[in-house]
Amino acid sequence: MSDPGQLPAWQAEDVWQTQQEEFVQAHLKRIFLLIYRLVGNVADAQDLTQEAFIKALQRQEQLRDADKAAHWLSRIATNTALDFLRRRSRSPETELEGLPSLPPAPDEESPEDRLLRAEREDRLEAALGRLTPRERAALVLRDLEELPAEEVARRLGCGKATVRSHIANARIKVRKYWERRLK
Amino acid sequence: MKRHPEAGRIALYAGGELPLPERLAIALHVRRCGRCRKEVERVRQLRQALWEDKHRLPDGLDWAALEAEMKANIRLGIMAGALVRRKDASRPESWIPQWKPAAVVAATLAVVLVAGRALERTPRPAPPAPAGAGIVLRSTPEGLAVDWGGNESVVFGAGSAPVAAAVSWDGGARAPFLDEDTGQVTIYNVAAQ
Repeated sequence: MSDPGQLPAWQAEDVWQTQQEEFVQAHLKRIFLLIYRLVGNVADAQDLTQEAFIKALQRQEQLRDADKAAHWLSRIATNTALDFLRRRSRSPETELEGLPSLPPAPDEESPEDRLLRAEREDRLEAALGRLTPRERAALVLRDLEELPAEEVARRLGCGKATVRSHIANARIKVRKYWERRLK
Repeated sequence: MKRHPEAGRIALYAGGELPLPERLAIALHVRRCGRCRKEVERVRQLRQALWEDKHRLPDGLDWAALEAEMKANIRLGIMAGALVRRKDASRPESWIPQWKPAAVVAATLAVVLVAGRALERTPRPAPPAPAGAGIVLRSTPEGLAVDWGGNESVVFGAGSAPVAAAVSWDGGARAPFLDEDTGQVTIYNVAAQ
């Protein structure tokens, strides 16, 4: 990103607004999917994605380098989702009921393909849903985001050995769940 | 390694998270043990399936609609944040430096009074009101006011002070209002015709 700070104020505001829009466009889907895999439902993922972007875009100086900005945004998104999971695990109520129903997707695949895809997704979501928030986060960050175990440990705020234990437990639980469902 | 490694070690071996000495020991075992080899293969398939799932949107999701909604909410959130910051910045930090703005206001009033006296001494006839000048837009502490020929006044955003107010070149006015309890931002745009 170029530096709007070197332009006159009236121009800088326009440039900064354009940069914000480009930044959101470039990363919105990736961040939404990351948060969705961590929290497991669309409504919460939507709220948390918006929250993560608003937090990130309020720190203009952090967004000057595109690569660093993408990495920094992922960290904010992960932390926002993890904070939410911690709050939710403390709350006695779960808000999974009463979520707004999703509008139908455009018909681009056959009914059979769609059914298979939905079944597989259900299976994956159900399997991830059986993990503790930390196991789920460790698995998503390591196996989907492909972060090194050290970085996963940093993001979760725990030691490398603990993260390895979370990853191992998560893989075993998911594998067992899938195999039971296949039988 | 004669005994089978624990399931957790196999799960980590399949993902490459084990330190080198342990990785080598398990690799040697897996080469000879069909059962553990199968176990490693299963974990790798699981990782592959998870990775393939990475870019797939939830079934039934209308991404275009969700994307548009999120972009609009993000834009609004940033705008609201900017307004709150501007409002906070306009508040005095403590009672101690309040004499400075008070001194500025007093000095400004003195200048206005002196200028007023000077103007009184040279009275000039008021210019005739142009046709259609019966409507006046004003920014007041209560909100945006629209005067109809001086008789009637409609106030937008009554009950809360605007965070900022701007009058455009064509005589229209714009003022955002922030509800401090709910954080809701309401923007009034009044166009002059």
